[in-house]
Amino acid sequence: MSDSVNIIKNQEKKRIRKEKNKRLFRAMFDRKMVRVGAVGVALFILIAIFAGVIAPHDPNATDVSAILQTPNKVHLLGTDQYGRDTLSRIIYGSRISLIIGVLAVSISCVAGLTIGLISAYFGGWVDMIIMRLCEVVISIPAIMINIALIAIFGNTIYDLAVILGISTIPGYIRMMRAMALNIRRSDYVQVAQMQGARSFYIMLRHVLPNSISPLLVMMMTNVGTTILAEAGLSFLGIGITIPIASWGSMVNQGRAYLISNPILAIAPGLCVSLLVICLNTLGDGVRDAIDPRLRGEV
Amino acid sequence: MSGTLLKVEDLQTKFRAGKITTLVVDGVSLDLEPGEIIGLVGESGSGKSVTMLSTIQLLPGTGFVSGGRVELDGDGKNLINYSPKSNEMRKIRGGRIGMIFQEPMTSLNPIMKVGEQIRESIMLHQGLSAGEAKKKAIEMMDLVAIPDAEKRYAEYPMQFSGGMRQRIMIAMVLAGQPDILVADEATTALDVTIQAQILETIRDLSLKTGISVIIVTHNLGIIARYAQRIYVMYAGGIVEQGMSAEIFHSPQHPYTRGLLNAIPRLDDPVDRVLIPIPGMPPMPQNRPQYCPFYDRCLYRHDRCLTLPKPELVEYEEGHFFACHLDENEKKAKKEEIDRQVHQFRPEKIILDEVCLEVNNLIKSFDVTRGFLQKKIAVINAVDDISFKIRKGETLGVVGESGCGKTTLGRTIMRMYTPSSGEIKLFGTNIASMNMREIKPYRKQMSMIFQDPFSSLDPRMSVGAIVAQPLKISKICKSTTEIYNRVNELFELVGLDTSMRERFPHEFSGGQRQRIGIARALASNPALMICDEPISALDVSIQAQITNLLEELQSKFNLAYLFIAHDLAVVKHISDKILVMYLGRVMEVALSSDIYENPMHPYTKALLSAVPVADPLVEKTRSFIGLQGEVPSVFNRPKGCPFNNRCSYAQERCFREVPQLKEVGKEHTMACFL
Repeated sequence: MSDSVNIIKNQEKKRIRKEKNKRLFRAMFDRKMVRVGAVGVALFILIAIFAGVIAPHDPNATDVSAILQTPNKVHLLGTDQYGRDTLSRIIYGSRISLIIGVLAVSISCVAGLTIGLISAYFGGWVDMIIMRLCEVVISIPAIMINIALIAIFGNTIYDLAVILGISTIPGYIRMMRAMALNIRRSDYVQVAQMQGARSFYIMLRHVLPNSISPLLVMMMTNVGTTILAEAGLSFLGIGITIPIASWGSMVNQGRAYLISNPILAIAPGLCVSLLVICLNTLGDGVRDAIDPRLRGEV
Repeated sequence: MSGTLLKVEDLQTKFRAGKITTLVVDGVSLDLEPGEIIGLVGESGSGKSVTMLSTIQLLPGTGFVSGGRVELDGDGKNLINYSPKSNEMRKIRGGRIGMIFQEPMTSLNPIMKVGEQIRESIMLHQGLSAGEAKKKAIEMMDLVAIPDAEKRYAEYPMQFSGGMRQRIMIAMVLAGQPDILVADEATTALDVTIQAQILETIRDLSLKTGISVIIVTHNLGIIARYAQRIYVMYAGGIVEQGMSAEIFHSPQHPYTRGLLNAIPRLDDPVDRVLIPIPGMPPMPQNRPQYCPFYDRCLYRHDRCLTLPKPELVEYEEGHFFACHLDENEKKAKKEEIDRQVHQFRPEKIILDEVCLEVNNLIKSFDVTRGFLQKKIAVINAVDDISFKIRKGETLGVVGESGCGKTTLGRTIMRMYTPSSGEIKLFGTNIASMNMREIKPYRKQMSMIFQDPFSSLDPRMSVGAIVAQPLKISKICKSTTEIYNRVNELFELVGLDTSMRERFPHEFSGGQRQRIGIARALASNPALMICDEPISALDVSIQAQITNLLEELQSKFNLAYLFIAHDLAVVKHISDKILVMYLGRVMEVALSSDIYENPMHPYTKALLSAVPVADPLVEKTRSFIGLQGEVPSVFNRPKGCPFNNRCSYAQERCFREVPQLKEVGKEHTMACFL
């Protein structure tokens, strides 16, 4: 008897969970902008994965007979000063840019959140030291830090991702700390403390979920700035090793031909903007969908 | 002076949201004679503030006045015809009708001296020179009873307390020499004692200067004490209006009767039963075509559903109400309700077993300053407090804000470590335990908070919120067990179990407070600390929660420590009352004793500051104005903490701290008198 009741209850619970997931999904994708963003991001990822299949030419093959061509039938987006096919380079470059952008942001976000939470939670000397260190990092121009770190670690894609990530960590730490300090004072955190909850539980269950919204927005914007920061490093000649294509370095190279052959800089630049726009709309959708207060309001 | 000063007729105000417009104020008419004080009373969302803002066309955002007349001095000019931004309207705001609001902090410019703010207002409205205006400003500050006006002229808003800021606001409004002063919940955020001081000042002003006053509030007591005529608002319309005494003594509308039945009064008998008004007021967009009160009405009749919204009809001269029922029907229903009342009150059983015993509890905070955190002072927020609460008993704690009530509650919950003293939970002293040792005892006590909005995590479903203590204290092992227990708790507090997957923002204030109570009950506590559990709720909802707390107490023999500033509520729910001032106990007595026979001057002053919702009783009460305000923690008086505000203070009071002494059966107080 009681078994059958339990089975019914379990089924009920499963149904509720399913319903919840469905609600979350609906809340996210009921928004038209979010659908556009999601499709866009998916497209960029597919292009990056299947670059070898899609690209019409070898991205690094030079052709002295066809330099600086404007868009034509053979080279859909023209060629650069070495006669390399711009479209193919953009397609291959998506790999580098996506990896660096996403990886760098993930690293800085995870590190920043953890350190920020620790700082807010322990307070006192720990907080003091962490915050002063943050100020030190912020006071030095990011490019200087990056140059120094590249000199130490090298400049493979993964090195670059880590290095570009490190310089944005203080932003996340400060944001997380400010949110956490605020939420820690709220009544519901005090209730949990009165029930004897551990700090770790409170941080994970209350503080983190309630501070996620602004952090999500910050992450999505940072993907774009990181891709462009990589370009800055390429400009100094310490970014991605030549001849590997990345959007950032392509914008940089195309800069010299802005008047004679503008597509060289505009095409990869447009890609960066498109990716950032897609990520932002998707990010906004995720933020709204996981916020119960906004859920269901399209 | 010819007749009616302000005449509002059939005023309608709408708010636009996208393509939809919502009628918020639905045909309000009121009038105001010169020198009169009238009250506009209603729950939040009833449209009382919007009505007042509509008369001066100062509506927020998308609001606009869509019809009706507003006329000053009976001069035949309809103010509604002026554009909200017109010069005529601007002259009326401030010049004819002045308004003060609830939040005096945000109404004053924090970086400008208060005197100059008043002076500017005077220069603008009266066109005086700077020098003359300054003199006038100081006069104004005197008029609103700000002590040392000349000295305080050059101080900044942050140097004033909430009550003083509100006085400054009044002075600023008076600078425009208006004929009408609108006080929109102007004293709601203040302590009862300060509230009484401010309202007394307003009444004196009205007598002295002949200014008319409109008091907008949800507090029936204030209305009973100060207003001569009353308008009761519900769902955007006036449901009853009349002279103050008539409204309170022969209320005709079921809503007015409901309100009066729902609020506790200081002069209630011990066995008074509160009759809550069920449900919630309708949102403006879902107001029905029929009588808007029908859904909550205890008197309702089937024909109310088919008839349109009732119009105001005259009952006696000057006394109008809007209801379809006739006298006999209401009389019959009232008798029926009175018969049922006695089933409401749950049985009260106080056991002999002592649940919580607090002995000589002291909680002090160090005040530090500077980079090296040098200790500059020690403040005893809770200073030598002792009491006992038995199972099933309620101890009420009252006192003005800043008296350490909340600190006391939190110290007992061991959110703070006491500086010294004992906290015994069923005989076990938990005062000096560390966080790990105390964990098993945590489930025996829980707390209900004042703000039902901030005490629930907005990202958790309410089911998960209620389940949290079960998980943390590992009371329930399996998920099925938790699931069942949460359902049980939901039913206990009168919530539908199907709502457990919803999130806090989908609930109303009263429902959220129920969720908070369910969470507090989850671990089967013996002691509940209720920190102002109902003061953030609407009048009609307060009774629902009070009754729920009483019902739960009798079901589980809960011991309550009930902290509140509303003396009437505390008196209603408590068996014993502890009066606190600056961290010390002033008086402890049975709740009936404390009203009939208050001994300590502070208790007397507190009680007299609380208005009773009955104009006749109010007339017989003598008002002991409590002077001044709670001193800041830094300059506590030596000797008796109350000595600087006490009218009986003698030389001895400034030397010695009076200890608690027995003055009657279960009645102690700390005073040399």
